[in-house]
Amino acid sequence: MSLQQEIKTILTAALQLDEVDSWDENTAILGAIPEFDSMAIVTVLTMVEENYGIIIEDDEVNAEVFETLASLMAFISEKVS
Amino acid sequence: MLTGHFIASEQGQLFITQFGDITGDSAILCLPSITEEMNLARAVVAKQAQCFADENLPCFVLDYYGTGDSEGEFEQASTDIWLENIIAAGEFIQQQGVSNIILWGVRFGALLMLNHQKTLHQQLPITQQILWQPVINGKLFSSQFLRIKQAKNMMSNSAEKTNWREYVLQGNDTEVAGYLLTKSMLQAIESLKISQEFQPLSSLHWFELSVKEPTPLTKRLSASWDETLVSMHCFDCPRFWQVPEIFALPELEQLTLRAVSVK
Repeated sequence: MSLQQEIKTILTAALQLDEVDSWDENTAILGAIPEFDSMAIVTVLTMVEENYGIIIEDDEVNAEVFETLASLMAFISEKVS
Repeated sequence: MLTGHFIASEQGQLFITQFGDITGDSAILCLPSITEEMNLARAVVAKQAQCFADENLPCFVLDYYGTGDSEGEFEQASTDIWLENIIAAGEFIQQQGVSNIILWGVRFGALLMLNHQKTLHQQLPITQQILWQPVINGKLFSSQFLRIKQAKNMMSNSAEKTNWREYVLQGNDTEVAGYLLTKSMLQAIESLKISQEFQPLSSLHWFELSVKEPTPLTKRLSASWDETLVSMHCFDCPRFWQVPEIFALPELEQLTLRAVSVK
């Protein structure tokens, strides 16, 4: 599974939103998707930590990370590598 | 049948929801999670409780002091008070004619239950323990909780970065997702942990949820346990304690029901 698909799976589970599958890299997330609230951010971060066995420090994360699917992918791919 | 009870405790009235009538000598006492997780998981917990009741296993769901419909505010509660609440609820159930209590801990409730396993077994006639996705380390739980605060700030585009844990530990009571977190509560939550030395004192049914196989941590913890007492189950389902809009998990209901055997 590609990283994009893996992240989409996490987002679908966290948001309970089927439309995630049709998103592309430029899809705006934070501020654009009503379901993407503070609890969703926490769930996504927790799931990323558990799925990839990494720890994300709070000061590594800012709003830009969640701007688009591409920005989220870039953040996770850097953390995982 | 669904019945609500207010029972007395030292701090104030505790609310308990009873699913099903008492027909035999066994009953289940549910220890829910706390804060946002308690609310998000409530529907799935209620469905499971009803499932037990339908099989003649009455189930009692406790709202700890300062949570749910019990008296008090979250900031007035403590983990010691919650332990007393569990014992009070267990005694109430015994007064209804039950002599065989099965504890069912959900997330933080499971952590609380296992940390106080010895005391609970000394004070109540506990024969089995069910765990749904137990929190293994209170510190992880509180850091996830504080992350909500961080995420809220992020959403308001605040550039300011606060170490909320340090801030609370300095004595600044802080509102997180509608709950006032105090230094003493944070310290108490952080002190709870399922240690490597933990050994079950009664049959333990451990459910790892949202995974296909046990995590390395659970495997490590359970390696030294008495196999005759422990059953491990994995069930891949949405994280209903974190994610809204999940109201029922019928397969999990049946899986949990089958794990519990009443002799």
